[in-house]
Order: sequence, then C-alpha cells, then structure tokens
Amino acid sequence: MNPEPECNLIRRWISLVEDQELSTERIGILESHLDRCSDCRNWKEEFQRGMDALDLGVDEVSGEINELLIGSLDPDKLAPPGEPAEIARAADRAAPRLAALAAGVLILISVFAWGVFSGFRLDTSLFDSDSSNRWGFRAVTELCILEIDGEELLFEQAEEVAMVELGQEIHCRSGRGEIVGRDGRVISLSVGTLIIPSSGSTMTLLDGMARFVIPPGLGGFVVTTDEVTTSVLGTVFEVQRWASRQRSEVRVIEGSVAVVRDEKIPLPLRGGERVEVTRQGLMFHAARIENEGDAPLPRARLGGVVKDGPGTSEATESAGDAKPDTSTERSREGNLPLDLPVNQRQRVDPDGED
Amino acid sequence: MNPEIALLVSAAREGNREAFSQLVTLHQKVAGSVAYGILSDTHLAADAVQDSYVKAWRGLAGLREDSRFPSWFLQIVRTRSLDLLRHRKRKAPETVEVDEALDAADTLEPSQVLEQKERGEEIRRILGELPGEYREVLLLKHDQNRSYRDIARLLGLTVKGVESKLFRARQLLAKKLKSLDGPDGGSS
Repeated sequence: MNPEPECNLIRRWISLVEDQELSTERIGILESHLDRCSDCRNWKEEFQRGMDALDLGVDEVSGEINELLIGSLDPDKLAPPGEPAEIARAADRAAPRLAALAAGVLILISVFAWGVFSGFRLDTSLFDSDSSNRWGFRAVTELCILEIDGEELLFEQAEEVAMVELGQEIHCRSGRGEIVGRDGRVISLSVGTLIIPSSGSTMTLLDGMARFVIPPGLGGFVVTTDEVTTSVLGTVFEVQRWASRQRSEVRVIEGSVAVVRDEKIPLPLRGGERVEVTRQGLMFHAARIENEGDAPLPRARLGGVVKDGPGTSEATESAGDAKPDTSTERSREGNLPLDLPVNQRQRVDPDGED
Repeated sequence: MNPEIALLVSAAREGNREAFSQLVTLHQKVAGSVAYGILSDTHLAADAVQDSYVKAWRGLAGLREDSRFPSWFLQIVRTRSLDLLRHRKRKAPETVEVDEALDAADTLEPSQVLEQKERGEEIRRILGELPGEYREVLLLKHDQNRSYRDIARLLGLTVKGVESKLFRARQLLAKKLKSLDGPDGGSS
C-alpha cells in the first residue's frame, strides 16, 4: 500500500535530516509526525539500517579505489610539456606487456617492414619454429582493443603487436587492426569483427567484416562463415557477416575466389563481384567496384532471393537496412539464382519482372 | 574557487607536473566515486581515474576557465569510464582478502571480522545493482560527505535533483537490504 502523501514528504525529509539539509522548522514538523505515525517510524528504522550498512560498503569501495590509485598519479608518468603525453603513458602502462612481447614486437616489426617492401611477402624465418600454428596481430590505429579468448589487450599505439594462437577467438572491440600470417597473408579487422584462425590457412568469421589480402602462389586459403565457405588462391577480398541475421557477404576486390554453400557447386567470383548468402539462398551481384583501392564496396542489395522453400521473406527483410547504392554500380549483369546446379541456373530479371 | 586549487591550475598550465598531480590528487576521491558510479568495479574505476589523469594533462590547454577544473576533470573521468564500460571487462580479484581481515583482528573477534567482511561484500553487491547515477551520488555523499550544492555543481545537477536522487537511492538500498536481511533486520 502506498503511504499517505504527507508520509511521502516526511520520508524525503528523513533523508534530508540525515545530511543536515533540513531547516529547523521542518525538523519540528518531522518529529511531530513521527510521534504519531508508526509507519514512518518503522520506515525510518529501516532507512537508518540501510544508511549504516551503506557507510560500511562505501568505505570499503572508496578505500579500495584509493589503494589502487596509490602511486598511479605520479607526475613522472606525465609527458613533459611539448612531448605527446600518449607516448610516455603508453610506454609506462604497456611496460609489463611490452616486456613479455618484446621479442614478438621486434620480430613482427621486421616482418612487416619486409612485407611492405616486398609486396606483402614476409620473411617467414622471423616467425618462431612453431610459426605454422601462430598468427600475429598488429594494431593499425591507436587505442585498439582486442579481446583474445575473453582476455582484453589494449594497443595504445598503432604498430603494437601481439601473437595469437590457432583456435583463439579474436574480437576487435575498438579501433582497427590486422592479423598477419606467415607468407604475407593479411586480414584487416574492423570494429566488432569476431574471427578465429582455425589453421595457418583457414579463418572462421563469426561476425563483422574482414578484408583478406592473400598473396598468390602460397597455397590455398579458406574463409568460412556459417553460411558460406570461400576458397582462394591469391586475391584481395572481403567477407562480412551479420551473425544476428545469419547472413554473409563475400566481395572480391582483386583476383578470384570460389564460394560454396551447403556443399553445392562452387561459384567462381571475380574482381568486383559479390555474393550475399543467407540460409534461404545465395544472391549474386555483378556490381563493379568504382575504386579498386581500399574503398569499401557498395553495401548489399537484395533484388530478390533464390528460394529453397518458405522463409524467403525473412532473408529479404534481413537486408532491410542495406541501403541500395547504385551510384557505384557501373553495370549490372543480373542476379543469378546460384543455389541450383550450374546447368539449371536461370537468369533472373533484377527488377523481378520475370 | 579554492585559492590553493587556483594556484595549482595556474602552475599546471605552465607545465608544472607536480602541481597537476597534486591537483588531481585533491579530486581523486570524487573522481573515484564518479567512475565507480558508472563502472561498478573498483579496479576499472581506478583505471578510469588514472587514464583521465593523463588525458587531462594532455588536454589542459583546452580548459577555458581555471575555476571549471573540477567539473572539466570529472567530465573526462565520466567519458573515460563510459569508454571502459563499453570496451573493457576486467574482473576484480575474486580471492577473499584474508590479510585485510587479519589486520582488523586486533580489535575484533575473528568471527566478527569475517561477519563484517561478508556484510561489506553484500553491501557492495547491492551497491553494484543500483543504477549508476544513484551509486555516484551515494558515494559522493557518504564517502566524502559533500553538500548537496557541491554534488550538484560537480555532477551538473540541480540541488533538488541531488536531493531526489539521494532519496531514491537510499530508499532502494534500504529495500534491497530488507529483502536480504528479512523484516526484522537480520545480520545488521
């Protein structure tokens, strides 16, 4: 049962009295009310018990924070005027981590330097003897936060590196970074990308977007999502997955790849082509890329979805947030229903007027 | 504005790191309360204060009026705390701090020490369950015994707003404690 309006006010005043924020006149009214109202007296007792307990909890919390801060507000940790503060701070905070990773840092910086000047071909001898089971991660932006198997790593500066093991779940929480493999394979991660290096030549993309730069002549490379498997020999391509919608998209920037869904016939994709894959089907877009550099490709457009059966509407709806961007499509050769064997595929009118 | 703070801000602006460090130390408790209010984790709160210390030093040139240092610094703490809340999950040590408990054993019986320890943990859990804005005012009031006017100035609220938040926070806390202890007051 709700207290009387007067009791409500009195209870607010009890809180004010606790803080000596109530006028003397009102204290008189309050005391007089308490004399005749047992509900408010009980409420006050309960309230007082809460206050006593609160002091205990607050003291503990505050004491702990202050203890943790002892020595941390050290002026020596601040960069001298004129020197970028981040450098001093990053060096200070990352010291233990960097010490542990010092060898890896030197190795990967050398690896990257070599990679840059030799067209992504890295010096594999710089990886340790068990390098086939490891990938490196390099932050591309400052303040990049990576979660590896639930443990967070903060990369204060671009170019900081760490090693990752096969099977570890890598979640790019903030900033951008790259996973670098032996032989110059580079996988660029965006914010939110969740990926697992399953082997030296296989990646499982769970969510988000990744761009893969796979130099030719190094053997096959495979990217899997729940919806689609993409095999490559040497190319640059992007895979994006919307886990919540169970939808993936593969976009080829250079070279060619083969995408396979549900063990059906592999579909070859060339530069500028992309394919959207849902549980309901697979949708091919022959859109060309305006700029074949690093610019992102146009977002997905579902002109229609190949039906496996009921539920097609879900897939169409799932792309509801994908804004058509026809400005970057130089040509549109039509959408092919690729969920069928090659000899049964029919060209579908992109406007759905077939 | 406190003349001591005015002097420290002025010296810090001229590149005096000692002065800046003293300045932040003076606001350390408030900053810790604000950060804990948002993060509900003492380790993360300490991280947020520490990060803000460096960030504030770097951005001191952006402070328009010296007198606004406290609210300007707390805004940095808030922003950093929110960043950490979004991006970081750092677990506080889960071990029971036996040493601390033993330190108190000079004045209390071992059973009392443990009882108090358990009680403290319960309260912390309940504090952690409260909305962040409530935690913030509770800490500023109960830890630092700041006036409503002071809390309002620091948090950018009205005095009425502080009064109202404190009342609701305490009421909620008392209710949660009651359900924990039972109607007759239980372990308190």
